[in-house]
Amino acid sequence: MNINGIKIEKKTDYEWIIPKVGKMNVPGKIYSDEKSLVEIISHDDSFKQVINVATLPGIIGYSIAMPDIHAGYGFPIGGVAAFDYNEGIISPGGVGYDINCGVRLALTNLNEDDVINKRNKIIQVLFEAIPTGVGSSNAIKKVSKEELKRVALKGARWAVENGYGKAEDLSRCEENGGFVDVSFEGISQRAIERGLDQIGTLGSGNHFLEIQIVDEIYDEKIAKKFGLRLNQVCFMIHTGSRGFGYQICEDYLKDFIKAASKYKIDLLDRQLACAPIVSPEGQAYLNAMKCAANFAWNNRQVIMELSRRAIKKALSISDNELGFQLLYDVSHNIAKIEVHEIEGERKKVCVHRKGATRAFPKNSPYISKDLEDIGQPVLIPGDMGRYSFVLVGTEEALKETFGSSCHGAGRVMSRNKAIELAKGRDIAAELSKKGIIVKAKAKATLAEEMPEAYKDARLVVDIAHYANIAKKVARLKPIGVIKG
Amino acid sequence: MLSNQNIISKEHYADLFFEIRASSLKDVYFYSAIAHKISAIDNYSISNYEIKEFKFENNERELNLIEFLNELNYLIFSEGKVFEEILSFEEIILDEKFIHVFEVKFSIIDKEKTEYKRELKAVSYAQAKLEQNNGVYFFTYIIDI
Repeated sequence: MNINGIKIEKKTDYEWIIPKVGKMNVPGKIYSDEKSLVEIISHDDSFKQVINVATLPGIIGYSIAMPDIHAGYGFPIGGVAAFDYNEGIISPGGVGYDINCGVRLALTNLNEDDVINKRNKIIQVLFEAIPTGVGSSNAIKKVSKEELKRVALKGARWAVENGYGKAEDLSRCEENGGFVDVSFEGISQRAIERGLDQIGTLGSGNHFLEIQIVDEIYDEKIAKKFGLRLNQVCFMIHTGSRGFGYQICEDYLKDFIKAASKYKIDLLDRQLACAPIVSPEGQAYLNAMKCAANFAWNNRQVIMELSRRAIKKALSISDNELGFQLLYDVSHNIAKIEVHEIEGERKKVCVHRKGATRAFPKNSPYISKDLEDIGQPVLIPGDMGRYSFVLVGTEEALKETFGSSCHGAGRVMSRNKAIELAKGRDIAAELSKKGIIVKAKAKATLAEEMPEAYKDARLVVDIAHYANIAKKVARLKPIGVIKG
Repeated sequence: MLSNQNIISKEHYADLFFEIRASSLKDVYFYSAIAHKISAIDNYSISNYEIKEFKFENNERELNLIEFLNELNYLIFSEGKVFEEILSFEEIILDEKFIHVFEVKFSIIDKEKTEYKRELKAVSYAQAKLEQNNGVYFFTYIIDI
């Protein structure tokens, strides 16, 4: 078929190929059904951005788009691209401003009945414990520059060492909650200043903390191994590296626009600004990005612990009764150096996942020992009125997408339009009628983030499932939401 | 001061998309700074004023504008300094580079007492475009939120 002047070939019902033409170094590959391809994805610049990424030096295999693809800046959101370590590039725009934005899911021993009538109280206590909204700060005491340096070098391990969570939480995070080969060089004073009082804060936009209930199990065996059961109460946290990460991205994007010209890299979009991975600029960004990623893992770890304390207080229960355990922490805005088998050869590559979740299968050396015979949990958050999902990584993902899957629902409505649509309506009351208690700091947030503003995550997850780039394990419905 | 003819908010799924129309480069800076301010903040009380000098130098004018807006972003959220007006403006073109030198008046506000609307991550380099047509500048850009 031909969409917007771009030739697209059907490979399977859920896989579409943009053949290599012009300056493309590799073809494009889009995971979608035909309906979404024609009716949703074609309505923005997604195809063009898949093509633009395919022109970057050293790209391997395909420029890949996940089922939740939508136009981003430079790279599409829902984009995956792997670059040869020695000949390829690294791009701050391929990671995004919110470095290591991600999701974690904590499981409890509680059932829906234990919390359903106490939701208001839990949400209130959580809202008081975890600063949300613009410039949210001081969840914990403002740290010194030296302490922030330790956060950037240690990641979530800093939190555990300072009483925020348990050591076993770390093995349930990608990279054990922190890149280890990191230095604090190349972090600007501005980034440091922005990070000092933001540890343990949620921020604004689509970031959230939700009380969720497991309401459907798709794979009993894997759900059981993950510790998931029907009616179980869970807590999902979605946030990233806050101002610290935004500033690092901005600092390096500015430099990389000049670096691209220095290395004679032809950019079809300024936000694709990049430098060879092995160049001084590439290595400097990779290091700074790791510092920001570590900040984000630490941030989610601190929020999880603050949540645990708040829930215990709200329900007046013991640790054993609560049983707060981390299922997993996934990153969906990150670049990682990984080894993948490409055409029968083991190759070191830099995988950019921008709005895409790692989805490694069982026996992967990159996941913790206790998950080795199951595979990595893949967490896909939905909008605040419908569902989120737990999936598991697959061999197919490893082979076809460098071990990646989708990351969420994706917006279908502008913020202005959502605000217009919300006029005269009480979104919180509407959600309350559906059994969902919502609390947000900014007035406009509930309108901008209303469920109708998003695609149903189920559509995206089903495509990932049928394309076999992650398999459905369980569905979670929200009953309490905190928004920034 | 602020007119819908100068600041046009366009439809965008995820973020904020603006088109600035102005008859001078100084006004492009002014109206885009105002658009940034009204995107970030509702009400604020002023405790003092400060004048800052800026100099941006790039081979494309829009890069100077983006760097300026990202500077404003840092100042409003981190230092509680809110753009008010441009006191002087000069463009120098030298060795194929556009050098913009200007002074800006900022209000100093109490961040704790300020109603921020939303967090603005940064102004994106993608799709930022400055064009001139029949004596009118058109500057389009996106603020990533």
